[in-house]
Amino acid sequence: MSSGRISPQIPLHMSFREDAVFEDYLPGQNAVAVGMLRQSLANLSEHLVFLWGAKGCGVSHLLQASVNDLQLQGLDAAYLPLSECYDFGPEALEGLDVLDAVAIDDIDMIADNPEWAEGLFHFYNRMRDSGRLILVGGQCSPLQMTLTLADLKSRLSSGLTLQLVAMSDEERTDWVVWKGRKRGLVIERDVAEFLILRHNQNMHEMVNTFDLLDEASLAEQRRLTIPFVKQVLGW
Amino acid sequence: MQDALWQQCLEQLRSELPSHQFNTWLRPLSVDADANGLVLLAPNRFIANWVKDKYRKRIETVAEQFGYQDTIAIEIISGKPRRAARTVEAPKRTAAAKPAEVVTAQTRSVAVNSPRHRDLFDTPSANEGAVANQPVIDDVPQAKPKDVSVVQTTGSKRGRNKVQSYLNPTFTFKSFVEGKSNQLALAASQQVAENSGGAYNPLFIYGGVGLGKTHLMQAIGNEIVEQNPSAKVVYLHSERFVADMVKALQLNAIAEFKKFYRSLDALLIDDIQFFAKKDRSQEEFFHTFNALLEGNQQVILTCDRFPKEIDGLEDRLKSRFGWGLTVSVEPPDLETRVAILMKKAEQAKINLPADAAFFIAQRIRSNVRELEGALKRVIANSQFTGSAINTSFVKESLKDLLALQDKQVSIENIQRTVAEYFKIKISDLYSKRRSRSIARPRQVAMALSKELTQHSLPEIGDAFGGRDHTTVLHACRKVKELRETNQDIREDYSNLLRTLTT
Repeated sequence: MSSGRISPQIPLHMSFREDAVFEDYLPGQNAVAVGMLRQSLANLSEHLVFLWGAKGCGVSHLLQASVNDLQLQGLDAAYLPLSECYDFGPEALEGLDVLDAVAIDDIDMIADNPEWAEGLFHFYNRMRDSGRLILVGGQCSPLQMTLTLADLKSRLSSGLTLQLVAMSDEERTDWVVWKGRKRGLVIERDVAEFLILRHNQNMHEMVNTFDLLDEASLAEQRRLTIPFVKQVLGW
Repeated sequence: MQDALWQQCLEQLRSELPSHQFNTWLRPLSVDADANGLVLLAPNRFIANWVKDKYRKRIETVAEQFGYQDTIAIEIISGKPRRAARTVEAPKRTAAAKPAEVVTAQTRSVAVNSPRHRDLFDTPSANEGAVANQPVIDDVPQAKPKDVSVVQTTGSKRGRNKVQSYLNPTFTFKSFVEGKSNQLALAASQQVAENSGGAYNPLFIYGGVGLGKTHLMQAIGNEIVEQNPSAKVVYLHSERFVADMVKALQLNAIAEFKKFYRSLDALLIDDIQFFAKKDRSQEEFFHTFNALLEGNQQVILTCDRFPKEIDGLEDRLKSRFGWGLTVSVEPPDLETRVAILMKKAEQAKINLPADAAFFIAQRIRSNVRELEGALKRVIANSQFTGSAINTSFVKESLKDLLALQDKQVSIENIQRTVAEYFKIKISDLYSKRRSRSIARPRQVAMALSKELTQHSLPEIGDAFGGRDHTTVLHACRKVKELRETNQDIREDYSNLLRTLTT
């Protein structure tokens, strides 16, 4: 990554977390899957890696961490969440095949869209044939996808497919405590459980909440307790 | 002039922007060298809009620093040659991959086999094909990037060839795993390779996804070039033919386009089902096709279905596709699947015990790509954990995949699919009716249940109206016998198997 940053008037890239790293992911039961993913990135041994799991499992985080990791290796990589470029149609992929790697998130979006499926099929072929890497993320495996284009489905099955499983309640609590600690926040387990409950177990939103709590805790020099959390977040 | 300015801007922007933003939005831009002033070409509307919205001001500011005073236009590429930005090299980058337009047959081969992009199955993959993704028409001056010299194809033997063949040299007959399911197609392909432009013209290879059509097609091309290094052989995906034609039309170079394609000794077009509903392309292809056939030049086509079944394809094309030889590739049987796995493991230099290969082959039936995906998972897991591969390790590695398959292929699903296929009611399968029109589908459904699920004979019998396990056993034996002697049953069974496992 470049150390310099553009002036603030230039908005950040859509939804891409430049601070997403593997170290910020508590693998838990996904340790082997994450290990295999990191191994494949280090060796560049695959042409396609397909990550799938229910919302909140960390698919998007790991895809973005992968892109950052590849960039650290000196490769040109991009992250493209289909949820944000779906309306542009498959032409959104045009021109991206000059990059060494492209991570396509939210693949489930295109399940019922033959145009997108064909566009992605051709994009896959171009990337594959020039030795480039595609990372794909979604909520179900290639086998479960209801793609209208069998050619695409079979191609998506040909790579390294890795399932991420949802965290258990215990792991979620561990994660919140651990994540808070990494940011210098001391979060007791009861507070962590409360946060999980109020966030309806959406770990992604939780990360944004940490920013607010971090700021408020620093400003008011207070420990994070349930009443304080309620006060800060207006719950 | 603009090129140099843009290079300077890019270098500046590269140092300012996070590399992800730079890569996604600015790297794909190129400069319109023919325009007055700085006109940036974006490959699509998405990137053009994004750059206009988010980066134009900054680009203008940076350009101003380098002495450019005018406004900057951002347009979408439409048939204009892309260059300049495509050749910008990332200083840190070490990968062999190069900008699309300047990748030659030689560099392309290097890229695929580069250590930075080495694939476990880069070498002979039973099914994956190299799809031409760069302009083929080097003879069309306007369609060729100016900074690319006339391209020589890979290898010294092809030194006299003036076209990019886009053949993947790893797809050979030697690396193709032969089995009952592809024997005929393989034999026909070998015949065509030996007698290019002869009796089997065109050769039309069709079949489901991931069964080796591309491999066979490219093996023919490689063999033709092997026998005659000066032969002009071009392999391309139908999408590329269409794209080249569109580009040629835009550049007013359709005459060169025609000349180029009609000058080939062998034209190999993959997945021609994507020609469907593209009328102008079909028209052009029709004439090219006729010209090649008249000149005894070989045409080889692949498709996911029989010519007459391609919706949206002109009848005259469907008819002409059948003039030569039409061969199908069927899903590989168990023995072939095992052989494919063993070959892939050998290519990946992995020790795969026969019983482990047998287990995978038994459970993954649909196509070779899925087999390949499953084997990749096992190998990655083995390498990560340092464990030796054996059957129990395979079971553990693939447990989620196997669980999904089990869920997908249930007895209920089989009954529903079989009933739909034979146009009978599901309840007929449970009933006591013994007429041939009901009993035969019931037997087929029982045999499929035995083959595709882990249920025992008594469980299967129960699911078919409480029948005895010996009835199920009899059905399995009967269907096996009929598949060997009766063409219709063989096809029905094969169609159902394909439907249920893909």
